[in-house]
Parts: sequence; C-alpha cells; structure tokens
Amino acid sequence: MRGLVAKISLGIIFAEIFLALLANFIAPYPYYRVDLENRLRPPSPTHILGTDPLGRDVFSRLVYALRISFAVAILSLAVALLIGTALGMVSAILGSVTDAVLSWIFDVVYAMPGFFIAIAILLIIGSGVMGTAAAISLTLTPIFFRLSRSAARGVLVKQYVEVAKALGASTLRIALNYVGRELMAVVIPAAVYMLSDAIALEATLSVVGLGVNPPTPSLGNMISEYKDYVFVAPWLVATPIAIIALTIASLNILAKELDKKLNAFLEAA
Amino acid sequence: MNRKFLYLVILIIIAVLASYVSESFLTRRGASITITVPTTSTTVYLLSNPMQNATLRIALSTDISTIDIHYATGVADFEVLGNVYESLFRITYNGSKLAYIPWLVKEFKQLNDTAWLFVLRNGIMFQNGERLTAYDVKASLERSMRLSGIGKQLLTDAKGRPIISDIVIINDTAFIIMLREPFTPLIEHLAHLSTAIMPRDVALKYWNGPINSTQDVIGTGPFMLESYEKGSRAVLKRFDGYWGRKPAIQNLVYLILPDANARISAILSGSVDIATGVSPDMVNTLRAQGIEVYRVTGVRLVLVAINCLRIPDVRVRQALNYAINRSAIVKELMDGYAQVAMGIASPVFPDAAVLEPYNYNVSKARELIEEAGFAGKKLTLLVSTRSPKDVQLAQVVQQYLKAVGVDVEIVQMEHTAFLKRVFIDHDFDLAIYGPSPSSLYYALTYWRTNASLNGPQYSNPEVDVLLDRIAREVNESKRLELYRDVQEVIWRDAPAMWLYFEDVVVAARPSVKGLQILPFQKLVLDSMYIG
Repeated sequence: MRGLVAKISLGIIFAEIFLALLANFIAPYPYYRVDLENRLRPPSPTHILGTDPLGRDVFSRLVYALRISFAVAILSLAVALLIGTALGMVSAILGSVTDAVLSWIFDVVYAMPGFFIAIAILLIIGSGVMGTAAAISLTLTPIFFRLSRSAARGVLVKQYVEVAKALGASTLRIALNYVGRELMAVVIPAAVYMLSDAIALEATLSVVGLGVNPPTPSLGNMISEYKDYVFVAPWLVATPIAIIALTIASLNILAKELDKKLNAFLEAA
Repeated sequence: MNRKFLYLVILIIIAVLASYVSESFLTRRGASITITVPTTSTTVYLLSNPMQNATLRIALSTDISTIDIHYATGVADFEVLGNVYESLFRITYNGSKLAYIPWLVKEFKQLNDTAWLFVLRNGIMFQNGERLTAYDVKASLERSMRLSGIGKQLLTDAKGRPIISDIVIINDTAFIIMLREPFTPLIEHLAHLSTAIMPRDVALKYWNGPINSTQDVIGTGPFMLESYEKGSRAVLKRFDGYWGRKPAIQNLVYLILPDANARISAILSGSVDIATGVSPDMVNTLRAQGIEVYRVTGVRLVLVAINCLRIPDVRVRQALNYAINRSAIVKELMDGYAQVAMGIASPVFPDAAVLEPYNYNVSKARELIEEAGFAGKKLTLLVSTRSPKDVQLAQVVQQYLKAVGVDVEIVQMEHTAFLKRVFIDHDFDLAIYGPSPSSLYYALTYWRTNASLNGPQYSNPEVDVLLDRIAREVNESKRLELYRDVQEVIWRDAPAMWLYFEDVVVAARPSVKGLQILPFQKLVLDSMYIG
C-alpha cells in the first residue's frame, strides 16, 4: 500500500517535470496568444482544457505554468539549500561568536512569518521570476540553517569525529567527510519537503497579485487570474488548484519515503 | 497518514470532474433561458414613497477609506457618505446627460464676474436637529478648500490659490461667494460631494484633521451613519427629519466584499439586495438566475498613460493609439459593457466633444513608429493588481503593441505602490488607470502642466491657456468653442492611449424597485423601495 502510494507520487512528479521540460513541444498554442473572439470556451477537442478570459489556451498555459512554478521553486530551493546548509555547517564547526551571531540573525528571520518577509522583499525589489525566487529562498534559508546546524552539532560530538580530530584531521576534512555525509540524510528529504512549500508560497504570492508578472503563467497566477470566474467557467480555476494540491501531496509522500530510505541506507553503511 | 493523502487525491479528482460536469449543466441552462431586462436605469416616479421598515443590503467591492466626507476620495466613500451628506448643488442623470441642479440652494444669481449670490432652501435640518444656515455653508466650504484633496483641486486655480476669496454672509439663509477671478465651472464644482455641507461646530472642531467619531458624521442627507466597522460594514438609519422626499427603507447596510465571487454568491443567495462592481462576464450567469442587471454609461475613462517625458515624440504616442483595436476590446473583453472612447471626457458630460477617432490601423502605426525611429523599443507597462480587468487589459495591449513592433513588459503592483509610482514618482513608460471626474472642466484639468493627477507629465502651454480662458469666459457659445478646442488639442497630443468609457454595472434582486444609478458608480436611492 505504502509503496504504491509512493510510486504514484513519484509518477505524478515525473510526469509534471516531463511536461514542464518539454512545454515548447507539448503546448499546442503559445501561452500568450490572445484570441478575444474565442474567450471562455469550455473544454473541446481544439482546446482540451478550454480557453481563458482572454481566449488563451488553458492547457498550453498550464504546461508553461508547471515549468515556471517548478523553476521558481527549484531555483529558490537550491539557493536556500546552499546558503543555509553551508552557513549551518560553518556555524556548528566554528562555534563561539560566529555561531552566536549567525544563529541570532537566522532566528530573527525565522521568527517573522515567511509570507510577510516574501511580500516585503517583493515590494522592495519588485515582482518577477527572479524577485519571487529571491523572496522565497530567503524565507527558506533559516530552516536549512537550523536543520544543518543542529545535525552538524550532533555529528561533531560523536566518538569517531573526536578520534579523527585526535588523529589530526583538518577542519575541512571533518566538515566534508563526516558532517557533510550525515547532513545529506537530513537535508535531502527536507529539501523535497520544502519544494512543496516553495511551490505553495509561489502560488500564495501570485494569488495576492505579487509574484511572476503576466502574461507569464504560473500555477499561482493562473488561480489569481481565474478565481473570479468560478461561476462562469469553474474548470479554469479547478485545474491549477488540483495540480498544486496533487504536487504538494506527492512531494510530501516522497519526502517521507526518501527520509526512510536514506536513513536505512546510512545505517547499513 | 498516506491513506489520508490518498483520500485527498481522490477528493480533488472528484472535485475537478464535478466542476466540468456542473459547467456543462450551467451552460445548457444559460442557453435555454433568455430573459430581457431593462439595460438602462429607469425612473419610477411616485408621489410619495411607501414607508417601509425594510433593510436594504448593498455589497461594495472596496472598503471606505474615511468617514469624513471632505477626506473622501474613493467610489465607496462617496457611495456610503453620499447618503449622509449633501452639497449646495446636486448631480443628476437623465439617461444620457448629467445635469447640475440646485439642491440645498433655492436660488442663485451671478451678481458680476466674481460674485455669486446664493439663497438656501428653508427648513433644512441637520441630523443633530439644528437648522442649516449660511454659517454652516461658509465653515464647510472653507474646511473643504483647506483639507479636502479633491475639494482643493476643485476650488483652487492653476497656481494653487483658492478660487474663493471670501464668503460673505448676508443673513441666516443668504450668502455671497466672492471669487478671486471669474470661474465659470463654479456650480458644477459645488455639486461635488467633496464640498458637502456639515454643521459649523463640527467643521470647526475638526478644522485641522479628519472626523474620527461616527457621532460627528452629521449631514443633511436622508440617512444617518449608525456604525462603521472597518473592512466589514457600514450601517445607516433613515433620518426622519429629512427635508426632501423621505426614503422608503428604514435601514441601509453596506457590506464590504472585495472578492468578486463573494459578491455574486451573496446576491444569488439573497444575503444582499444589490451588488456593485459586477464584471460584465457575470451578467449572463446572474440573469439566468433571475437577478436584474442595470447598466449606465460611466465617466471612468480607461486609458494607458504614456509618460511624455520618456516618449516626447507625439508621432509615437499617436502610433500607440492607432495600434489598439478598441472596438474588439469593448465588444469581446468588456462584452459590450463599455463605450469606445471618442473623446477625452465621457459622453454623459454636457459639452463633451466627439472627436475624430483613432481607428485601428496597424500599418499606419508601424509607419509612424518607424518614421520616429522607435521600432524595437522596449517599454514597461505598469498595472495595479486592484482591478483584475486592468490586468487582463494589460495583456491585450501588450499583444497589440507587439504587432506594431513595440515590446512591452508588464509589471503589476499593489495599488498604493502603483499610485505613488505613477502620480508622485512618475517612474513608468506606460500605465493603466481610469480617472472618474465629476465635471468636464475637472476632467480637463488632469492634463494641466504639473497637475497632481497628471501622471504622464503632459505639458502643453496652449492647454493651460485654454483652460484659464474657459474659466473666465462668460459667453456660453464662446466657452463651448474653447472647450472643444482644448479637448481636440489633448486628444491629438495623445498623452495616453484613450481606450474606453467603462459602463457602471450593478446587480439587484428583482424585489428592488426604482433604483437609479449615476455614471460615477453611485446609487440613487431616492425613489427606491422593496416591492
């Protein structure tokens, strides 16, 4: 049962990534092509998910939206992961003042609600793909920092690390060989889990009108553009919502599964 | 845990399928029922309203920004507070043109170029039981000129000096307004609610700042403000001592519902009687459910401002105007609920000129752009996220401009940031917005050099001179000529892509009778009753 759900989740995510990567070939129309005379058409063979209030093909927009949403989420996640994990390790290994200052800074950022930080950043640097990615990555960085810092501290007090130190291993070697390896088991499942957070945050920002600028579609701004048409064309908003929900559910299941597998693998090793 | 996710996934799939099914059901139903509903506001004349204890609930799309009429700026502010306050004159609409009629004033007479005599109607009471006198008028107008953003614009000249030099009180009901210089649109501007009359005590009490207590919201209007909860509702009660025709309904409740779906479901379910800010896309759905939809031509001119300092070449600005297919936008995007702009002021204003249209002409636009060496330029188009229609419009404009070789990048912003960027920093190439003026003269003053609402920083000394001459020209036919000239000049100079005048669309349950709507998105409840 559990394995099946995980496999389905993996299948969903792969299918989405496949659609996103091959958007140019799969989308039957350009996502920005306005056709005012064919607006709000229900699903039909020519437009399999119908057309939107500007007469654009919803399926084409959806495929590109997957690309943009995944790109924004992965980009922001990668930045947050690199910075957060690196600083977390540095903090744990160096300790003393460095640790205190870094921890204090990230605690302050972490204490503020992520959504509001993101809004503040977008208001300062302006909306757009890069702005949105920067805003999301800043809200995720403290989580990776805390996670990797506490995990690294746990590793550093272990006996084999003490032994290595006594044998004269350099700080860099300890960081890479011992701490880094253990951190992977913590950070990778967290990253998959955070990917769903990043997607949800991008969607939320777009729904309040920040985030990626039109006509570029993202799952979130499709919802915000179509939400006023629930009574007229309910399929418009239902599809992106369903996809976001499916993606987030799948990613969460995968993260859990990955967590289990990686831990088992590390224990065996 | 995983089982839960599985259920969630199944639930979502069912929801999606259900939405498709319900849609095909809805469209079928919509197609089979054709209901003809009056599309213009009709006036029901009754000798006297039947007094009812009914409560009327109205859904508004935006919250009010103040409870002080002199600080009011938004449509919602005037909608709610316009029931409490009245001005010396009143703006009415007969279905095709606006008129400015004496209201609190019984008679008025222009004594000479700079002096106007006014006599107040007898027996007008404020809601606190005091009688309206000329002293209240003097204090109110002076406060309005002093504090009110719009009042200042209406009652000051181009140099920022008040047009009124003094208000001389003759007796309790008569007073003379002394002007610094002749000002022909005086009556139109005294009809604006930003110059509304409040008791002298209240005006003096809040001489330097906004009214902050509902107790002090006192006017001469048919309703009293009973309570106001920010972001939620304003409750008004009939004022039984009202001097004019007393309204039929007892209570008036404005509910603030910014979400379009919430307003639609509220009116479908009957939890509100009237909903404002209805998108044309909703009209068929509403009519299919038996809701009446009213429309009137609006004063809101939707335009794309062109920053004249960044695009000083008039050929480019005209080319951008030729690049847009206005009739397609009006017919399709607006579903016909708008009028193609044939001038820079709505046709509902008396003396609004109908000018030579910028017909959709891609080759002409391309020619002009190439002639000016503007081909391949990249522009940013600023749009506020407050209006979903504006965001859609931005994408349509983008496509039209692409067709004539101008690349446009859309930048959407939160509304207050948008206003600052456009009207204070002037940091944009193109920007979508729509001013809603109350008089023709006021509509034209937006385009004066350095005017506060002159977003694109348009400046033409000829326009400034013509506007000054209009203010001084007493001869009506000469003034009409000047009005036409100035509209022509601004239209040709094209500090904006003039698009369309948006219709005001209001939905009401069938039980609502005698409702009238002004082109400023203002409801008139004078002869309204629940049938």
